[in-house]
Amino acid sequence: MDFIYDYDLDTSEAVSLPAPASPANISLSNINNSSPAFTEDFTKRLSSRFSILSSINAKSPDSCSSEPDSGEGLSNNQLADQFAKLSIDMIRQSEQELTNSPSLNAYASSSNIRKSTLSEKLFKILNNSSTLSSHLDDTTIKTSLQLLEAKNYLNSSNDSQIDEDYDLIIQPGILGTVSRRKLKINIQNEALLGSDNMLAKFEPIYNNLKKLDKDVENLNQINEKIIDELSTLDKFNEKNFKQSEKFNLSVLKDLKAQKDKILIKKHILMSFQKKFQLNEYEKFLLQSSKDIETNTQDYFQSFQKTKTIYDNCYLLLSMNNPKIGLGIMNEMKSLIDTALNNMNFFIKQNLSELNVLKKADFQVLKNCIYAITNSISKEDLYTPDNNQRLDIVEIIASNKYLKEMIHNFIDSKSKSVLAEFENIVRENERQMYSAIHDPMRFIGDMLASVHSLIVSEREILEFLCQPDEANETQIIIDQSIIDINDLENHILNNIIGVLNNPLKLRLEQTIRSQNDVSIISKLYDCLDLYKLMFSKQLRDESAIIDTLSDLQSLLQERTFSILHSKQNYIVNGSKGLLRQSIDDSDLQCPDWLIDYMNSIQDILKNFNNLGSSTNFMNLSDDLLIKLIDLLIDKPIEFVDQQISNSVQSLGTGSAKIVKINCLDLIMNKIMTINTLSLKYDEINDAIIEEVEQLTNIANEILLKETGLLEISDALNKVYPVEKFSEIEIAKRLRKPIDNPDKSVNYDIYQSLIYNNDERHSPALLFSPQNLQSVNGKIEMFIPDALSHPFFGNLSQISSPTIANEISESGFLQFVNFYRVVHTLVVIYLNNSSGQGSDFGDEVGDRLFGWNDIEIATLLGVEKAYMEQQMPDPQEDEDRISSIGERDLDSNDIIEDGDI
Amino acid sequence: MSSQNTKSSGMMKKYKLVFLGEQGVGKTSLITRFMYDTFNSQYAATIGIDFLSKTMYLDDKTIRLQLWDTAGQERFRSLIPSYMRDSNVAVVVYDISSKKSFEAIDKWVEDVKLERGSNVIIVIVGNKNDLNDSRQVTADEAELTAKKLGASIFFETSTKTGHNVKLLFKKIAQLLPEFEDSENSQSMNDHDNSQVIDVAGDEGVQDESSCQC
Repeated sequence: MDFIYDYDLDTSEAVSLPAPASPANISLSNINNSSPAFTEDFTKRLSSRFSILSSINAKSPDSCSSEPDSGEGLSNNQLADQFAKLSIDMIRQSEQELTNSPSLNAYASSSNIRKSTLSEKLFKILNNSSTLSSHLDDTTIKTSLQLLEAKNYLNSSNDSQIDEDYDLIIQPGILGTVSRRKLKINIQNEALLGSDNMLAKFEPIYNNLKKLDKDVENLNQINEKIIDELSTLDKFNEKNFKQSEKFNLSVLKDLKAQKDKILIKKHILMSFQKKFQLNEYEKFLLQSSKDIETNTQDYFQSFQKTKTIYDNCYLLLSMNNPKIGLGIMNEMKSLIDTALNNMNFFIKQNLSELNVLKKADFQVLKNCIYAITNSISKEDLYTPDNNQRLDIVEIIASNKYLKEMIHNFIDSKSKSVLAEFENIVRENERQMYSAIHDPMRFIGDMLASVHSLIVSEREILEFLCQPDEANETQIIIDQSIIDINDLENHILNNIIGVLNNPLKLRLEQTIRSQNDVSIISKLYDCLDLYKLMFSKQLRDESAIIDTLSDLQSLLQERTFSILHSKQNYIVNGSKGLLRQSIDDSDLQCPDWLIDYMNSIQDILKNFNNLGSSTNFMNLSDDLLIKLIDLLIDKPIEFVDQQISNSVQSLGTGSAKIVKINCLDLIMNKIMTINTLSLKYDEINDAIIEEVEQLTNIANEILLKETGLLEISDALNKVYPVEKFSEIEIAKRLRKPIDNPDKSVNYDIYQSLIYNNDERHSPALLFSPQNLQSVNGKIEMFIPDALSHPFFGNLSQISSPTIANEISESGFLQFVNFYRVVHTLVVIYLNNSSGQGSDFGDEVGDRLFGWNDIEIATLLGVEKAYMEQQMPDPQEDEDRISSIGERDLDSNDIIEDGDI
Repeated sequence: MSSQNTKSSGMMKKYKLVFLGEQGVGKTSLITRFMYDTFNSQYAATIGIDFLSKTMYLDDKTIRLQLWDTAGQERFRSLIPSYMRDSNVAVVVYDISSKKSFEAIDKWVEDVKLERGSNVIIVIVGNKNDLNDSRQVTADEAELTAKKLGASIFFETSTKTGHNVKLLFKKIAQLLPEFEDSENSQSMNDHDNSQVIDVAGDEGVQDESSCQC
């Protein structure tokens, strides 16, 4: 059955073009029974909410002005076509306008999406319209009727009723109209009911959308505002760009250049500020003394920055107008001065409490010291005229902060060092007896204490002054322009220098109380050693080392003084030692000499410990000669003096024995001392001289006691018998003879024997009577010669070697003389030689009972005598070999028939 | 003890070590090995008393060791007692290849005790451990003597090879009052419980990792 769509009633109402279908018709399709009123209303509401879209299309206000009448418009295809064309034109126009409008370009992209959506909907509606117009009769109507049937609007209980209803509906009359209206009402009711249900479903969505209402409204307002501004800008641009020259290219270039200049100025000023200005905080830090401890890091960084600025001010001074530079320099100088004063104050406060100083404060102290040390400029290190580097004292004097710091340093540390030294001294003085009984230990302890103080102070100085590179808390790490070692040495010397006077005072007391030169000598060595050890630590010339040198000079003086005093006592003492006679019972050295030599024994030992370039106690050569004179020569002089006083009572021989003993004592004391070897030789020569004299005395005694003295004198007047004896022995032994008188023989004495002139005593000397008398004396004296007091006294010589030498030499001398006399008697007074004699045959044998060997045996020198007479085998071999090498000159050896 | 009271201050605590022994036993070499880790085979006699110092870091603590090197020559003997007076540690060194130098340690220890009483740490060191072939003093004999003399530490060292040198100083440092509490070591006056350590020739005993000296 076909459904006839009733639209004739509505055609009259469709005067104007129908509006396109509402975009909200989706609801209708969903419920399959859409209500046009609801659709219209909903579309209106939604479109009013999205007024942005409408505003986009504001350029074509007409396009959306008319509301579509869905029910009526759909029936007219032509109208729909017209509507569609108009809409499309409007859209195109709108697009063109939007495209042409630069102000709306920004919206183009966003609105395109919306426009396309709308266009789609519109075209869909239009298509639907066209579809509707073309298929109204069959598809749509059929569908509508099917719906009506499905809802039983057309259903009746029976077929007759159905037919009746249809009939009524399709009737043209009033009944038909009523039926149709009734049906329409039913359908509308049904639609309303569906709409209600639909609205109920949309209520949550509505509510949600309502929540967005405000935001959307705000968005709209902003949008409107932006659009207004854009339109204003468009107008401004239109007005200015075209008419004003303010914004033309040259103006822009000028402005850009101006901007660049300003930027450069800005950068310059910023750089200037960075390089030449401190901020308020930095200035405040430097002016505040408390911030050294509390804001150490910032404080020293500010200080460094200030110094850098000050140093860089020379750049400003080189400008045409140096006023700024001077101003900044003055400001920075003032800040640096304040900071340095603060640092000095901090140093002064904390130096005395180093041992209890916290680690952080200790680091601050180090930084302060380093900052002040580096506060000196490089120019101050050199003399202004010839650019010679100043020494550390001059450098310190040139910088008041450094000077003040060093002063504080020395002042504070000196007090502590002095206090510590006084403690040590007090401790030592409790053992004051040690100063008297063991001065070496007392002085050693004092100097060891000073040594400990020196090394401790050096360590402290190194801790404080040397940059600690490994320490992160070290803030100032600039390379120091002053030699820190020089500075340390200067400070250390001054700190330790405070000990000069107390140390000197105490050591002087000890030294002056000493009377033992050996201790004085040891003390000198001790001071020498400490000078060496101190100089290792103090490194420079130091006052304390000078003090030790002064004390050494005192020790030198003291040495001379003690020696003088001792000698003065010997010479002028109340006991009158030199006036005392020497004890002739033992002929030993006087006691004073033994004591004196014992007292200087240690000094003499020290002569051996010296290097070849060093004199004892570092004495000058003149002083050393004076000392040796005091040590050795003066005692010998005193010995001579005392002996000369006693010689008459002693006798010459005993006096010489005493002297030999004294010389031997002195010689033994210096025997092992290389440096005194000359003096040793000198004394040895003196002993030899004394020995010779004693030998002569011994010989003289033998001659005198045997009655041969006059004969000896007579023979010696002709030719010295001793020399003759030597030549004779040499000849016999065939030894080379250097003596020019080597040709002499016994004939030289012949005149004495044959001269009978009574006026010449020698002739009488060799008379048999005299010779018999002599022989008698010899026989009586020689066997007991050693019991003679002189030879008995020889045993008093402390050196047995010397004693033997004297006796042996004396005896040999006598035996040699005896041999000559005996030979003369045998040659000239015996007949054994075949020559005539006034005294008959073998007179000589009868005149002397003992020959020379027998005499030598009786005197105990036979061995030495025989050795003298016998050729030395080794010497003989040497001689023979030497002869073999050259022609033997017989004249050098012997003259035949001499003996 | 005479060391300065510098605990918890910026200044380090100082201890005085005096090295004693006969001439040529290696006192100076021992100090040189510890200080600079070097060895010089050329003998140079010490003149008087030499001083060196070194900071030691041990168990997060820092101390300063003042090393007083005495001359072994007879003519300098008179100076030495003055340096024993305020020492904290007396290191008596002998040469293991010289019986005479070992026999002299009795006298050295006696001198130390005369000056310091029992208020000193006595350390006996047998040096020249590398000369094992010419050894004249056995480690056992020396250890026995060290105990008898009341030494707190006995070590055999070789300054030539560096054997036991760092360990020796580490042990000495551990016995010093600064470390006594932390190390729970014996009181240095308590010689009955003295810590005599014989590590002669025992390389494995050395543990120098924690000693940054």
